[in-house]
Amino acid sequence: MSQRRIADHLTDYALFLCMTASIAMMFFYAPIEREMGIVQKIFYFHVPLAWNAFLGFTIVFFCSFRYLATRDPKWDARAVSAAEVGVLFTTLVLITGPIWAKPVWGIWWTWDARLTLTFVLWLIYLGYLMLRRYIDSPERRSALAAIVGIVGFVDVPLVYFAIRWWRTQHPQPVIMGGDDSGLDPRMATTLWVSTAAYLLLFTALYRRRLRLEYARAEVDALRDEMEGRQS
Amino acid sequence: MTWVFAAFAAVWIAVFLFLVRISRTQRALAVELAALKSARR
Repeated sequence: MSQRRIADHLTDYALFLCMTASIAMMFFYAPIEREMGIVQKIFYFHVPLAWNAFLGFTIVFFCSFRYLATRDPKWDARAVSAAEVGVLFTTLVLITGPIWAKPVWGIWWTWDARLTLTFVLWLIYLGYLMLRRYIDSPERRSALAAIVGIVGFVDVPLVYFAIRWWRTQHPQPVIMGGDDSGLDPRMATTLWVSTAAYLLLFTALYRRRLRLEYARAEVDALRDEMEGRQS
Repeated sequence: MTWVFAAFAAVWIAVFLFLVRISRTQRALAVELAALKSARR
C-alpha cells in the first residue's frame, strides 16, 4: 500500500472517531443553553464549518502566491482543491446559519455586516471556480484564478472582524471576544472537539479533490502528447 | 430538535453529494486515462 493510501486511511479513521466523539459530546456532554435551548447545538457545527472554510481560503491565498512566483501547476491544483472544499463549507455555513436564525431571531436572514460579508465571500470563491471553467488556456486560467484567489482573500479578515467592528444581529464572539465573552467549559471542549472533527473532514475531502486534480493533469498531459504525435 | 436535525442533515447530504461527484469524475478520468494509454501503445 502506498504512503498516500495509508495517510488517507489514517485520516478517515481519525475522522470517524473524532466525528463520533463530537456528535456524542454535542448531545450528551454539552449542557443545553438556557435561552436558546436545543437549537443552540447547531453552533457546534456551524462555527467549525466557518473556521475551516477560512482555512480553505487561506490555503488558496498561500498557494496562489506560490503559483504566481513559481508557475508550478501543483500549487494551482492545491489552490483549486482548497477553494472547492472552502466553497462547500461556506455553503453549509450559509445553510446552517439561517436554520439556527429562524427559531432564535424569528427571521431566516438579515443583511447585517457578518452575514452580508459571508455571502460576498461565497460569491467571490464561486466566481473563482466559475472563472476556471470559462478559460481554456491552462496557464492563463491558473494565473487569473491565482489573482482572484489573492484579492478575494481580503474578505476573510473582514468576515472574521465584522462582529467586532460593527454592531450586528449575528451573536458577538464567544472565543477571544473580550472580558464579557466566554463559554461554559463543557461547551468549549465540545466546540474544540467539533473543530478538530471538521478539520479532519476538510483534510479528507481536500486530499480526495487534490487527487482528482492530479488525475486530470495526467489525462491532459497524455492527450497533449497524443495530439502532438498526430500533428 | 427538528431544526438541529435539519441543519445536520443538510451538512451530511452536501458532503455525500460532493463525494459522489468526486468519485464519478475520478472514475471517468480513470477510464479516459486507460483509453489514452492503450491508444498510445
